[in-house]
Amino acid sequence: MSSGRSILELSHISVRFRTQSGKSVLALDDVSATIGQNEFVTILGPSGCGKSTLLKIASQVLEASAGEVRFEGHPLRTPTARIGLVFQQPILMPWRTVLQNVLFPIEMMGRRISDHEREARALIELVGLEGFENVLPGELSGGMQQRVAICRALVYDPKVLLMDEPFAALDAITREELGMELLRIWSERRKTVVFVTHSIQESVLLSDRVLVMTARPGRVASSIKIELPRPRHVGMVSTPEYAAHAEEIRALIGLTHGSA
Amino acid sequence: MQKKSALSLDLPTGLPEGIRHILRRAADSTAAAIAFAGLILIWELACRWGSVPVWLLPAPSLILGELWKSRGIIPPHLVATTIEVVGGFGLAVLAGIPLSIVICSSIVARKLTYPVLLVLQSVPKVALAPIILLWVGYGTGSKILIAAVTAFFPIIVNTTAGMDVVPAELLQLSRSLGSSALKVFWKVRIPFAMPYVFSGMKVAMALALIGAVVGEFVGSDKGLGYLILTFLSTNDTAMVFAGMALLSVLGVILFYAVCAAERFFCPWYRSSESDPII
Repeated sequence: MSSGRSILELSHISVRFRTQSGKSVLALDDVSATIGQNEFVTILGPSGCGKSTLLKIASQVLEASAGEVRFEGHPLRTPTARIGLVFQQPILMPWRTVLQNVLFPIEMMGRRISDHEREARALIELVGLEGFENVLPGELSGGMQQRVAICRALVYDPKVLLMDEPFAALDAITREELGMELLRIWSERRKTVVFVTHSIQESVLLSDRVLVMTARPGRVASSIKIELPRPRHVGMVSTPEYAAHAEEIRALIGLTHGSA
Repeated sequence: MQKKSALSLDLPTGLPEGIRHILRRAADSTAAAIAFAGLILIWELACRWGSVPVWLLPAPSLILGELWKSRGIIPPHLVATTIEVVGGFGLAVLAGIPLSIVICSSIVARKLTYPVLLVLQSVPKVALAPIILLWVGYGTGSKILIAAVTAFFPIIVNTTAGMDVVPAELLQLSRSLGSSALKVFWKVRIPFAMPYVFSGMKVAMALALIGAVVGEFVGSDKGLGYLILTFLSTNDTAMVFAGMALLSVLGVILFYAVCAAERFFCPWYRSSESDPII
């Protein structure tokens, strides 16, 4: 699906943290990655490999100790509304209705709500939440709340969506369902998605490309192109192509059973 | 599952939820009323059969009777104390919330103000009351100020804590949208802090009452605290108790007023329906 042009470039990113005991820890070590326009890329790795940190740097919510982020060819130094964010938890505002939560970014950007209400309602319908516009988040399930969070990230039409383990807190069934829904939204809305996960299945099933990371210090071990055809569906997990990709990734993160 | 009421009433399932809720609440208040009536009954009986001297512990019926006889002189004093408590509480809120915003606005501001506040907090308010009286004078103003100083700290602590619990991701999102710090405070941090602010207010209201009475004790010519001292000096113990009862009733009413405001301003937030602890 990638048009070949890059939209987001991370070059030679290193991050050093100082722990509470004063020790300096290298969290990311010289990580470089290029994300193509309209590409769906997952960043996969064991917990603690710095994949969430890498995503924070890509959005410039966090500053790297070394290296550069380029967005649409220009250096990116501050967070921008052209990059949308979805987090592990929905983090909705409990006093706002679904519609008001979706329109939150518009309000914060100082734009006119009325100009965007139609789009907000269309997005709510797109994720299958029509009829819930005026409901408070407290009455929604975790999966429904995360759908609202996705609408919130799409309502101001960012080019890139950075998603930090967005389905990690959901049950397996909801997770598969939302994954497929995300693919539908991605192809309908022509977005670029960078998706952090620690699920091999999620990474293979969803993405064009998987960046496999190793732990401590985090490095990109490999970039694997996923050759499964589009549109994808959950049933593809039983195909030999899926199995081959999954096996390759397992080997890269050192999970192969009975390896020599 | 529904939260069980104190009496764990088994209500017929056919009833609408609204009515079930009211019945459940009624059952809870009935339990409280029974417990309260029981205590008063024991007190009454103990006074009657135990031949306790009236100047030491008057019976509830006697207190009520004396209160009724003096009903003409009570209202202005009740009003005076209410004004002092509500005024002090309001002042504490009006000063506390903006100060919390300042504390949360930057690390430098926090490091400058928080330790100072902590030290000031450790000064006993009762000891501060005479000084405030000396500075501000004998009238209502000094009582309001003493009540405010007493009630101030829980407002600050809770509002600050409330604004600190805002998820970091939401602040990052706001930053990426280019919103001003003021807008983030107004649209994100303050609403998030509201439930915390209200739990601080519940404590603050109780403290404001204590502060006002302390102020009246130290020096005044009106208020329930003044009445209690006056009746004590004339050995009218029943009226001392009547004054205390009125103060308690006032405290409970003001506490529930804060609870009602909480339900109005944060309908999404269900605070534990705990009864007044203080």
